[in-house]
Amino acid sequence: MTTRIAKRWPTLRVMLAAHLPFVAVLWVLFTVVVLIIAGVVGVTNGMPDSVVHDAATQVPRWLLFGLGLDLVNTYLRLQLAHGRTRREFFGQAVTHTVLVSGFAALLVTLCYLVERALYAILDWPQTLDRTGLFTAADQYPVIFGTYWLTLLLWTVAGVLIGLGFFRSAGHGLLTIPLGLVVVLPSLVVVGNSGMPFIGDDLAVVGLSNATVLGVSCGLFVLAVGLAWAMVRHVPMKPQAV
Amino acid sequence: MSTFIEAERLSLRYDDVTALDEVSFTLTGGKIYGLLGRNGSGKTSLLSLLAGYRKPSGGTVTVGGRPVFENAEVTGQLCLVRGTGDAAVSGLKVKELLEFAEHLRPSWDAGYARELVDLFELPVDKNAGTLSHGKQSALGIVVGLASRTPVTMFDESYLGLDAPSRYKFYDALLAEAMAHPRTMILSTHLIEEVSALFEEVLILDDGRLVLHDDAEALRASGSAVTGDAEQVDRFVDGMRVLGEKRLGRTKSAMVYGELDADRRARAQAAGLDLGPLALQDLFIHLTEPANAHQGETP
Repeated sequence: MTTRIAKRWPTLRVMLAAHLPFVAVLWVLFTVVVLIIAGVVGVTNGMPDSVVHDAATQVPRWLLFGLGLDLVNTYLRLQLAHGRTRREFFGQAVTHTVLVSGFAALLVTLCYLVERALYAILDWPQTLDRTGLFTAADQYPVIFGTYWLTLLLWTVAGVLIGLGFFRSAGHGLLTIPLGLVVVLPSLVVVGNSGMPFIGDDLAVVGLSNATVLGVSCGLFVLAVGLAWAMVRHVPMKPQAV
Repeated sequence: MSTFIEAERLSLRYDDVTALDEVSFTLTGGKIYGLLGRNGSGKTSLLSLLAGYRKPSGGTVTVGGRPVFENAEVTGQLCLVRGTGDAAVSGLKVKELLEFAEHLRPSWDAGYARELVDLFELPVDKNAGTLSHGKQSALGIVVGLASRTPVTMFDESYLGLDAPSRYKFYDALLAEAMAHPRTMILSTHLIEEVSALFEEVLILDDGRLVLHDDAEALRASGSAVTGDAEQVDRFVDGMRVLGEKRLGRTKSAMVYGELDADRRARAQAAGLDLGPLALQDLFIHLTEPANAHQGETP
């Protein structure tokens, strides 16, 4: 029996089928752990600031960065091995970064909502210890937009660095500073660096929201352009056994 | 789609290393081709160019008259399994990899893939990265055969298999070639084991194509003369001897050149056995450093 499947966007389907359930499972774990921590802190130290805010400004971006790396390391190889072109992969991979970061941003926003419900039951105010584009924990559209932008930049940085290492270790090392530059605006929009050396100095640099958004968009376009320049002729070396 | 493959002065360089040096050949398609060469001779580089895994440094490679690199219409018709296979990425379960293949390969035959999974006893719920080398090789073979692509290439893909599994692969390959004729290219070191499958043979040495010929013609281009050592020595005196093996008083000499009726009669009278030339002996002779780059049969 010969199966003939001619679905549209097969590359995107494969990547979404792999990453979305993974992100959803981790979101459940993240939410449970964060709320347990909030409960423990509340009982031992009194009413805490939003624990979701503290955790969500730091943890999910690293997950999305990892997914960006995985996109190249696992799926570029898989696509080429199945006769797909670099062009096909890249167009659908960029779409994937937008969709998966949007999905993750939606889940992070839901975390704020769940936390608000819990704090309301305990009669705790849901306050933020630092602010960025959003200044209160119930500004859901802004929270969603902020995380979408943040996670998008981190995913693209992962793709960029992943492509560097796909080409060679030397190229990979060269792309690390580029990736760091790409994610810099995301530190400002959430008001939390969470990075060694940089501290929170950059996060409170005092740029206007419009400037931060403009720089973010510019860096996203630049990162995508650089990634395309790297992927369009990238050789696929044999896997080490 | 036509699977007429044409390479014209095809070159590949890695920094200052020339992996392929102006290789030219034409494969008419619909056959099983053997690609032979020593380690580092350029086999994997050549197959990587044929599959679009790399861009040539010079020259052209076309399938059906169309360039390969970044040409979706062509690359979709090609499948190269290098070693254990690039599609067998670790971190994913075997069944996930097969599902992805079904999504990505319009020509994928899921039913045939299941048959092959059973044949090689692949554990579908295990992570591909945790499989033994042999099972990873089997997974690569499943991906290659079930792709049902008009051009399917295996680059030493079956080296990790044990002997019974290798023979299962040879049987499956032959049955597949009969049921669904297509172009298959096998690169291997196990020449004696696989050579019976080959219809044409290409031999690479040091990045250059030193031979491309019909396998039957090559086997008939010489003979293996076996018998009493003294009789063999006397018989092959003055002939071009490619190689010799000796066990006690019995000797086998590989001679190049067609034997006429008179010679055959002399061999029979001397009690010598005449057999076809072993491709492996021809391969070893052609790729010996002293004989390299002759660009023609001996």
